[in-house]
Amino acid sequence: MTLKKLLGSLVLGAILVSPFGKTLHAASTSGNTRIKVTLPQIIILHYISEISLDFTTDLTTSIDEGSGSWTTAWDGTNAVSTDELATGNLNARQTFELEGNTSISTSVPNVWAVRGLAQNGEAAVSITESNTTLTHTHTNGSDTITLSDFTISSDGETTGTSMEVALNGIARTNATLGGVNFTMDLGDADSAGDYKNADGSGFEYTISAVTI
Amino acid sequence: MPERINTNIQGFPLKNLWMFFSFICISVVTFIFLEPLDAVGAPEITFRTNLIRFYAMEPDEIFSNNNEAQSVSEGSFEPEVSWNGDIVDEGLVIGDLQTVYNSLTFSRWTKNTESNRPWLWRYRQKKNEHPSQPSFSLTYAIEDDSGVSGRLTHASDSASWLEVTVIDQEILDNSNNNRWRFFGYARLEFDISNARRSGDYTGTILTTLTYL
Repeated sequence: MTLKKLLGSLVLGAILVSPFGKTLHAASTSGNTRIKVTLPQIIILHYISEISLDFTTDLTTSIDEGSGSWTTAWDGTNAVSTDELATGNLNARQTFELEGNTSISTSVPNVWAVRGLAQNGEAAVSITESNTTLTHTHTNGSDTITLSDFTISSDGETTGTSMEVALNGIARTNATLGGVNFTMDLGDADSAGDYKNADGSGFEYTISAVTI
Repeated sequence: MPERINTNIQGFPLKNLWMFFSFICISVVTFIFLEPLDAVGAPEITFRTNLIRFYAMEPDEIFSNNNEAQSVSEGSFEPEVSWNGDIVDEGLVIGDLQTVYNSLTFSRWTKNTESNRPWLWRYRQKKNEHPSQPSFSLTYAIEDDSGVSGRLTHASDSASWLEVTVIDQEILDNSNNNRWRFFGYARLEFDISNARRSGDYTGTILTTLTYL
């Protein structure tokens, strides 16, 4: 084999081999990287800012207290009877009766809601009250309603003035709803009308929510 | 002295057979010698292997202010109350709650303006080994610690997770006279719709670089 032929084969081989070698360079390489991101605590509290309780049913019931007899004198003095009505012998009303208990306990449903993010996914919700005496002022004086025993409830559970509830994330469709419960004492409410504070506002409670 | 005899094999002259084997041998030798040269010219590709911690989400990235606690007045409520305290109406309905947030997503680049690392991957190659501009493509994939793609999960609650999408990428050409040098970045978008907890969310980003 002559040197010329050898060089010719070398060049030919290089020409033929090099393109195939180049196509092998289309190569992939991969790497994994750990990543981490942190979310802050977030809490959103929705609340009803004004509640007006409206006792819409008028108490206009008439009650038949039965028959009685009176001794009447010809000189015109007052008739006398042991059957006259007195506060101690009035019949109970059939449709509504406080029966000496002037307190009404009520639950106002779904007046607050919470949602958000917490380290363990929950929030502590609590209630405090203020301005709990409401007054109705009229021409003959004033009457009052006193509110007390404020508690909160959620999902059918009432635990007192505070409770822990799930936040369920930030989407509003997953919010946790809750209600407020309290007692109204109508013992000194002798007149009809609006019962308010002196400044025109009503009773006040504060709902607080804290991530836990 | 034996007589030299040229013998044909299947009609192929021995001289041509010798040339054929020479060509094969030279091609193999050429291939062997060329490949190491190409291997020397392969790029040096480095993927970030240590943890990338993105800067924590700030409340103002989804709210109009930077408060972690948002309170929302939902207006007034005037329920009818019976004389035994029953309230049938509900103050808040889930579907009517105000949205509050402006967005449920935020994003971060894998660069040191938004994380603790300057880049996600690096490509280096000597220009004398690869004179022309390198050509390569990139793909990114994300999965959580359980291997679920497209999400990061909370460190202590796998039911709380972020949906993660690579929404952008950037390549910085930092080449000089001697080397091709590129730095790569990805921009990740985090959707917090399914997050229940604050704190750390972790996973892995797999970067695949294919070069020619």
